[in-house]
Amino acid sequence: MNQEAGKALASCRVAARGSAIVPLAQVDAIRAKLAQNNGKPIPLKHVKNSDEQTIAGLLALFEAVRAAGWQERSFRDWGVVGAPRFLGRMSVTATLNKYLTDPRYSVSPHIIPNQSLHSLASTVSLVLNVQGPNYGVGGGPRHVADAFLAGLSAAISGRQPGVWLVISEFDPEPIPDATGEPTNDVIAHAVALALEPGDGTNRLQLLPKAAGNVSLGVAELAGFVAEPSTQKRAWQYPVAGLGRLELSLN
Amino acid sequence: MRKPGIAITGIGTANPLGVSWEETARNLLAGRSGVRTLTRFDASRLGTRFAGQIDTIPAPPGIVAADFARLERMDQLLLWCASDALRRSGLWDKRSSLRLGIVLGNGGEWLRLWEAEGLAGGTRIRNPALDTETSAQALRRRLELNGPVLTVAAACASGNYAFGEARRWLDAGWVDVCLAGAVDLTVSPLGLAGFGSLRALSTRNDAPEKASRPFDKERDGFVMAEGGALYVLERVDDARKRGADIHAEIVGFGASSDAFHLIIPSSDAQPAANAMSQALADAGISYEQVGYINAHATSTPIGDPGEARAVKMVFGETASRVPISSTKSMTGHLICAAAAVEVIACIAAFNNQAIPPTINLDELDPECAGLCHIANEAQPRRVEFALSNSFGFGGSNTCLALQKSE
Repeated sequence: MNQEAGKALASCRVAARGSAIVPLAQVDAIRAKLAQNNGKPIPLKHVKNSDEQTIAGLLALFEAVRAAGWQERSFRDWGVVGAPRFLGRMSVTATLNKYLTDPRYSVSPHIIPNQSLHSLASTVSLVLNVQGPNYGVGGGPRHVADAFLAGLSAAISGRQPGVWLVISEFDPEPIPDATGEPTNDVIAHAVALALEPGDGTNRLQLLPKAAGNVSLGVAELAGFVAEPSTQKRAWQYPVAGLGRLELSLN
Repeated sequence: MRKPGIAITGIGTANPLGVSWEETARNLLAGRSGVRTLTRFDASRLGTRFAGQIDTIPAPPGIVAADFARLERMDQLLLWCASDALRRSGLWDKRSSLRLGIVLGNGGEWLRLWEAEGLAGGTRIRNPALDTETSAQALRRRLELNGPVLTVAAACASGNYAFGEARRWLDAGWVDVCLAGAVDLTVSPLGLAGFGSLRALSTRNDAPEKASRPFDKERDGFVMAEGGALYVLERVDDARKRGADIHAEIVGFGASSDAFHLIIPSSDAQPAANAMSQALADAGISYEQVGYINAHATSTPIGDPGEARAVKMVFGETASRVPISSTKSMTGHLICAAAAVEVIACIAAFNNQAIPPTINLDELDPECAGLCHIANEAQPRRVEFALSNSFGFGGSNTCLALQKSE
């Protein structure tokens, strides 16, 4: 491997992509719309208690499916990697407040299943009937690089025909008051990428040299994924100890 | 042809049965329970008032005890497990000169951190600017490591996913050495209340050490526990070349999803069976070569019979002859860290050629019959290969295949 020449250490094809931007105030309407899912309804119970980031992630996912014309495709043998960031800040603030002020209060049963790091991936697995692996990665700072690294690792493993990589975050991050209500205008952003083994003009690569630019968040990535252009474009994230991850899209 | 395994050359742990892998293994083989009434915080308002707990996390050599005591508890746990594993592997002094990565199973780290800080009177949760690095990223910084770092989570299957990912990094040549494993400190007021609201926990408050009873007819839910384990993983050839002691080899991994429910395991055992079959195929071994199954078996009414069905699907008539036991009967359920700690049970089986028991298995649930349960006392058996099942919320099913070191 000629690392000086910048030859890829690993590469996979980006076969479909979608993005979503969801202001917090619109989440419930989108939740209901997702359950209808353009004539292919998913049970509302699957998304009724989902975190807002999960809702944005599902919206990005369905956008990717629609854009690729994959509405009838089965993803049963695929895998899912989900990468949310700071899930549960608002609900745990509210829970803590109630727990500390009301001795009779008990914790909602929906927090653990819906606001843990695996929750986004598991919900995708549920709604798309994905029966391959599903797991969460990242969860905190630099989670986009975590997502790309884990997604690429899964895609090149050869164990599944494809992997759905769904990345989400709030930007700005909510600053809740004591009751958990955000004091700022919060927007959930998400990107969904279908990663398949092999190469293509749209691809995700691990390259040996460190990236020059800084790692940015999902909000910027969502714009990059959605922006129509005939120019080849690349987006880079440094990966400590390895080099850089580069997403190239036409 | 079987592909080379990944060598385990160092182990660091803190869990309800000990703060070293040897102590943990001894207690597992002795059938001791690490579950007891909660003492670390007031649990009087909770339905479940016991858990598997760690008393004190030891300070690693070279760290002033007072400085260590000031660290957040998760950072203490990680530093202890990582430094003990690296020291025992003989790589401590070389750690900064190696491409040494970290893959850490840790599923609710922010929820737990925000809770701990909030219950202590802080408001960190309302100040996002303070959340600047994950626990795994902090560990990398503190240990001055140079490789990539990743947090993974699949609820109770997190540890096995961490092993699977680390193995891929080593196979791909992305790292030379990898610290992999999982940690969990969800034994907390909100953690217990949250799982309590899910009606997943045992409420046998009058006999905590009897509460975790996988496969037993009288089980009434799982018992929460805390702790973790980290392992130094290397390619087998590299480990042999440097003369490292190899505790065991990771030789296979399988993973599947139920795609059924975010909490409830599917009544169809096929996805769980698929994970086991994948691990066997990945390891290049037959089910007839398996000498021990470390069951996921959490002591829940639905989960245990489902796993029993999955084992019978994979092993057929042989299921009645392959020893199976549940570590959680002694440790409690370490949630995200369960799979990581349960590898110690497999290593104990390899080293001692004896199977750690499922304690509190007094009356077998007929729905869990047809398996070779090792009830209440360790039994001598020849073990060359072991499977370790871990299933989790979100419909995750995983299985790790391990081999005794040569």
